[in-house]
Amino acid sequence: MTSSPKYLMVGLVALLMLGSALPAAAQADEAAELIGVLESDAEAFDKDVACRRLAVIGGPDAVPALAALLPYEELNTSARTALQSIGGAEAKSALRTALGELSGRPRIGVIETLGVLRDPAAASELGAILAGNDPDAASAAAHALGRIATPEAARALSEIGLSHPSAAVRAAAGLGCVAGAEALRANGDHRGAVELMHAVRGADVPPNVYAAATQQLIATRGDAGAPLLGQLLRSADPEMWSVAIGAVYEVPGDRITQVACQAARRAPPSLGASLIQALGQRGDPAALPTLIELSAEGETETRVAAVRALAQLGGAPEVNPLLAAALTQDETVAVAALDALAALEGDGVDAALAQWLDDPDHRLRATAIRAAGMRRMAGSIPAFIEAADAGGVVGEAAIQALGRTCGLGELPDLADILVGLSGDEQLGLAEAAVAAAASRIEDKSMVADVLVARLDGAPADAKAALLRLLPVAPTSQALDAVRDALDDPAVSGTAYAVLGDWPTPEAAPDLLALAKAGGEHRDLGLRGYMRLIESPDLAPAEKMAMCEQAAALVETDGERNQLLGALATVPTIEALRMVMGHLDDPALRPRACWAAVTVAEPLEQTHSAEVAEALTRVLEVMDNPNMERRVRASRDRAAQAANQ
Amino acid sequence: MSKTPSFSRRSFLRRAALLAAAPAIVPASARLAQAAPAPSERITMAAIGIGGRGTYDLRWFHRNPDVEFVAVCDVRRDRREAAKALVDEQNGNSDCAAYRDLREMLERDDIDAVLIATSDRWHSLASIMAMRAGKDVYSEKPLGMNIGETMVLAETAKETGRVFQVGTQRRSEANFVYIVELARKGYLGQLHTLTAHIVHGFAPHRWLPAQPEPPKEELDWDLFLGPVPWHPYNRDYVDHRHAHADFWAGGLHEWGAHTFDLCQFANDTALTGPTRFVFPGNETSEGLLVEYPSGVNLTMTAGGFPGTCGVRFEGDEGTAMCADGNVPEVSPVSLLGEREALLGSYVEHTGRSLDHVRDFLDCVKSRRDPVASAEIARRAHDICHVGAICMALKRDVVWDPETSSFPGDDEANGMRTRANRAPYVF
Repeated sequence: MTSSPKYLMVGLVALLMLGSALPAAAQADEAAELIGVLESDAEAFDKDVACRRLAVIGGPDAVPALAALLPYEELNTSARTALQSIGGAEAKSALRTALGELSGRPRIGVIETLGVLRDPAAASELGAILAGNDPDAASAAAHALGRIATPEAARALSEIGLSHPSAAVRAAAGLGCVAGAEALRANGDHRGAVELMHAVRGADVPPNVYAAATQQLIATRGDAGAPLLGQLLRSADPEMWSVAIGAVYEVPGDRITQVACQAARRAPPSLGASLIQALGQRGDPAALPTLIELSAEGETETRVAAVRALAQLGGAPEVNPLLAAALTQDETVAVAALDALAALEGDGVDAALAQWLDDPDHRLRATAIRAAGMRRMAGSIPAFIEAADAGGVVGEAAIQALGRTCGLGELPDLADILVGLSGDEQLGLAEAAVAAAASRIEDKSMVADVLVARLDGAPADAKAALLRLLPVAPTSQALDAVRDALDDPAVSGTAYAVLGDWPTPEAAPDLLALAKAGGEHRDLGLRGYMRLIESPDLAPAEKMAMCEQAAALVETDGERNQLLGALATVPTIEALRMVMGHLDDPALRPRACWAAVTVAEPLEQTHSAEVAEALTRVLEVMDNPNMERRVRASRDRAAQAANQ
Repeated sequence: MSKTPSFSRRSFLRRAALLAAAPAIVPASARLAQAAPAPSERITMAAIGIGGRGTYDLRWFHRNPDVEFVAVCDVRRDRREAAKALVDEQNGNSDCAAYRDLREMLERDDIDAVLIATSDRWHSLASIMAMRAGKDVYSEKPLGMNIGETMVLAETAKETGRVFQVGTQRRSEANFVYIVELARKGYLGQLHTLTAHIVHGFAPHRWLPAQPEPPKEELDWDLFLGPVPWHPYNRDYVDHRHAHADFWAGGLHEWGAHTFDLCQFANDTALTGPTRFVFPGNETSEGLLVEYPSGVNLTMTAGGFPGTCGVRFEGDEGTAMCADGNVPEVSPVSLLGEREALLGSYVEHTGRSLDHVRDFLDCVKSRRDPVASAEIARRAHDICHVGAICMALKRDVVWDPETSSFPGDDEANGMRTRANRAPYVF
């Protein structure tokens, strides 16, 4: 058998594409031809390719030729792939025969394939290998027997494998038993599965194997495994805790829930939290009383876990316990409970919460309003508006709730609330609420109408807040309002700041004028102007014209670097030329290199020669290995285009 | 190779469990106080296959203060040493053990979990070996090279009770979770069309000219090959793995492992799958159509997204699209206002972190299944594998996700799995 680089071009996928659509008769002819290749003195690679194709189209008549390749390490794997795909009595028989004739790696491969084929007739021979003194082969046999999972295979695993002198083989046999038990259980042989798991638990196997067997034992027994689960949850063994929690997630049954609840009550927080989480995910409402109890008192970690579990498992009846938890002195628990109230699902949750929205107890009312806001209970907006007048914690909660819920219809009410407030904290809350509401409303012109209409006559603090909100609705009307406010001494500072950050190019002339005028607003104007160049709403020619304006004004390296960032968004050859002009300045070079390649990439085909030349220059001066590949690739593409 | 004794999560759990089992005469309050989690509670980890992606993952894990890597393993000396240096720098000592053979490393009983970032061909076998050795596993995608591998992996996770997470990190990224939740919670109405971003390409199978094998300490070629069918040593297999069929799962797996998974998530079909794959009539897999029994269609495309790994969900009341590095695009736009609430609800209801590695670490502690568990991941990967089979056969195929087979289709069934090269067998 020789390996050869002769046939480098033939690939499985390519071969399949060529041949797979053939009708059955043609496939039979092709299979016969491939068998001929296997039986010839063809190169090893040809035989490898033939095996791969026979895995798809081969039949029993290919088995002898494939089996003949099993002793050869180069071809053993591909031959087995074909044999396990063909399957059937012929392939299994050939593999069993090979088992007795082979040794070393080829035999281990055959063992795997017999396991994949779940050949019950191989159990006896695999059992003999399991008993042998080749630990690699014995371990492979253990896993194969686990897949075969007949009573004979199970016996070999438990009687031979679990008492093997090699610890590695015992471990493999244990895991083989677990796999076998899974198969036995799936076939209804619960007793066989249970016996097998008892055998593993009684053997000298590693803790993880013992744990896997225990998990399988509980899963097989189902609800009847609850006493064992109880033992595990009282155990000192960390692996057993892991198994127990896994069982709470996976194994159905009333008694399982009951035992887990009992354990959750007595567990230390560090372990109990995981158990409580499992109870929440388990989805059995029988755990709710325990979870409510645990949410009400005890260590923070336990209470938080219980509150979160209630969010997953609970419904309307759990609103009151969660409200109580949200009012607790323990802030961590309170925050978790509020989040839980926000996430609680099920019919009647909103109604259960709504009954507390006008409660005379301020803390309770505020908490209910917060939760209702987080739940976006739009039906409660009138209650929020009413509560906003109450001031204090109730008013704050109501403003936040309005921010989360109100739409265009209620925006005027919320804006009026803002205008009526004073003090940084309250105004800040209201401003954030209006911003949140306005960002959800698609008709920005209506938003601008509402905000601009309230500027006249508003107190200075509120007027400043309204100005800061106008960029959320950046219409011409809103920009005009900002321009007007530049001359209002009470808010001119805010107005200039808003103008400097205005999000649309419409403000560009204003900002350019500020930059050109010099003085205290020169920097704000120039930075804002260059920022707007990056706007996707501008055409390349407009951007380039703005870059030229800015280039005449920049003075510091920081400003030049910002200009380079702006130029990077202008895919024109003029932009590239301007960028290249900054390449020799060490303070600007890193940014200039990046900008150059960013501008150049879209121009590779249209300005190939100039791009290639520019990027060659970039490669000469750049000092950024992470970017070098990108620049080189672009330069090469441009150079290739230039040469065509 | 010396073992590095350390205070691991196992020893922590052992101590805490002992306290939990303390005699009842000890006042409960005293027991609870003693059992509070130690500040040093941590998960002891090892890393297997640490190249570019593995280094990225390693740094990601290092952001979590409750993780300590104590060992690294790579068949390449240069990578082994670089990974050890990275871990040593993080740990502030020189104790990280470096292994060439993962089997030797997996024998250590002080390692709780492993990060597997080898290239594609080793993912499933290394995961299976680690779980059989009692380790929890975070493995890079793809889950495996074929349907058979991923089935065995999922079975092993179930049988051993180990925590397994595949590195489809977009499952835990806020922007993707947000649009998935829009779909799941009905904000888009009845879903009808899913679009998943893919990379084109299948690599050919070939034996390159044999070159002299390097010393095992430099590069252990036998271990490098692992379960892959025999190939002569040639450096190109090492340097350009994506150019060779047995070394790269293929273009559909490259991004599809992420994007099909997100579609499955959005479509509430995470534990089942589509039933028909329609051959697109080309060799790139562009436009490959996947049909779910519900009438929902998933289309694969290499274009049309502003960033990598994009997905688009279309329902009769709205659409949502997200790709890497971009703000999700939704219609109606007002749905953007639901982002915060939906993410909050997701976190509260699932108890999951919006950080994929953190979710894994949390699950190592809580013993629940991670968000991208083996069973969920293998279903999404089925779409990669079956799509590749559809392309190879150049015809439509019918898939049964319940039996993981092609009913009555011997040709397609013959492509579900591949034998492993001994001794690297399942």
